[in-house]
Amino acid sequence: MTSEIFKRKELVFALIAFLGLWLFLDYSVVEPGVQSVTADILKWATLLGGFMLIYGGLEALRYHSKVVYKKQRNWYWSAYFVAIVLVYVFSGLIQGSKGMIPQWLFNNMLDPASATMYSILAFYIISALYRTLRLRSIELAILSLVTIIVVAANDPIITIYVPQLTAVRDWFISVPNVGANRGFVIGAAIGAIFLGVRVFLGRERSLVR
Amino acid sequence: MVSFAHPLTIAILALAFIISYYNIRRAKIGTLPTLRRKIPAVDAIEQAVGRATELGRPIIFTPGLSSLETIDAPQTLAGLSILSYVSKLAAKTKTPIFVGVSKATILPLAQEIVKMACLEAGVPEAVETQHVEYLSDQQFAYAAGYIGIMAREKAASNIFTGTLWAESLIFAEAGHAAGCFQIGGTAVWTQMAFIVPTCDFVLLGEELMAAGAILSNDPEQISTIVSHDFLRLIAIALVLIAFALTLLKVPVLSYINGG
Repeated sequence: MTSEIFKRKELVFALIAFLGLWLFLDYSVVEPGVQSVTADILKWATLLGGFMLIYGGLEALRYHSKVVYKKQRNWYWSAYFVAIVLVYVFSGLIQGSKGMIPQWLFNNMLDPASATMYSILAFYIISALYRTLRLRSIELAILSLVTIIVVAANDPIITIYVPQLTAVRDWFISVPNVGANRGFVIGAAIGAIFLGVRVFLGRERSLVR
Repeated sequence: MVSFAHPLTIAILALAFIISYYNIRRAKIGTLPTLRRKIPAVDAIEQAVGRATELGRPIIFTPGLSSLETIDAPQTLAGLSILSYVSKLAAKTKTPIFVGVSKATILPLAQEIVKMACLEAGVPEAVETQHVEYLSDQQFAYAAGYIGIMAREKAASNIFTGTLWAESLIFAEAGHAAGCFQIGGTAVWTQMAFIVPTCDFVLLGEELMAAGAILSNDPEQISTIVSHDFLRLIAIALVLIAFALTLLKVPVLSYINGG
């Protein structure tokens, strides 16, 4: 019975609205009493974040263990994931985060893999540019033209022969680009305000039912 | 004596609440004008689910890299409200969906949204074919996990809406390589140049924030989009007034900036 009360969506919306408006109050009002309560709320949020990380890790382990147990398609990747997580967690618990095994795993596996993923972007930018240059629409034609000018203006050899390109590039970057950026940001900010209002007023029903 | 730190911000938020309350009242009594402007990417969501159903392949979805406790929270919330609609359509058509989550705080919310969508669609058994997976808090581990699922499961449609940074291009290009129908959406300005040319449909900034309300088909939620348009008109008027005053050498901008 008690648990049913805590599941009521009105209670959830009331809590969301209270915390949201309190944090806004903290932003708007210069009052030490408000700031100290906010500091406590943020501590709770950090604590909750820590618990959620444990939950996320356990959920990932549960999901992949199930795949391995049922020998579903590509189960060996899940087995690899479970093994790596267990080695990382237990070596961290025994040796601490600065221990030899966690540090080795971080420096020799996670870090190079992350750098590799980031490096792939260079190739993806080229393939995305190639597809953009196929001019599927007027907008993409304009985008391609501006891209060619900006890229060419960054090339020292081209700018020796066509020095005017630098001024054209600077104009594109500081006038249409900044104008579009500000319009985009103002629109998105107003959209974010009304999304917040929907949540505070309990109208965003897709999130809490 | 209480002093206010950001009076202009308070005034804008108070105005937003008043306009919203007024328009919600109008929606309740049925005097709110209907929305006339269509957002192609919102209409394309049905197409994305339909394509996956026809091909007998799954949909892959992510609400982005951010969580609910940062400044990017509205984008994550918008992504999650789109997830609600996508998963309901997927449940109705018995199409599997894979949801890749990058923040553990989002995981229970995404799991609950997908579960409730299956129940509301009247297909509780569909929960078994819907997968919500926590990938990693690390940006590129999350990106690698996401495109890995995309390639292994041969996703037919790739929907990524929320806060996206460098991984947006990785998702879009890997999705293109996997032959996915793609809908991207974010309010991160720097990623627009990647998402616009690489995706079939795009939710640009404020469209992302409005998508959830449009998809809900709920007049009270749609009323906030009318309120949004109203505040946008005020913003345009303020920009024009500031422009005119600056031309007349009235130092309005330096006054607002506190100079």
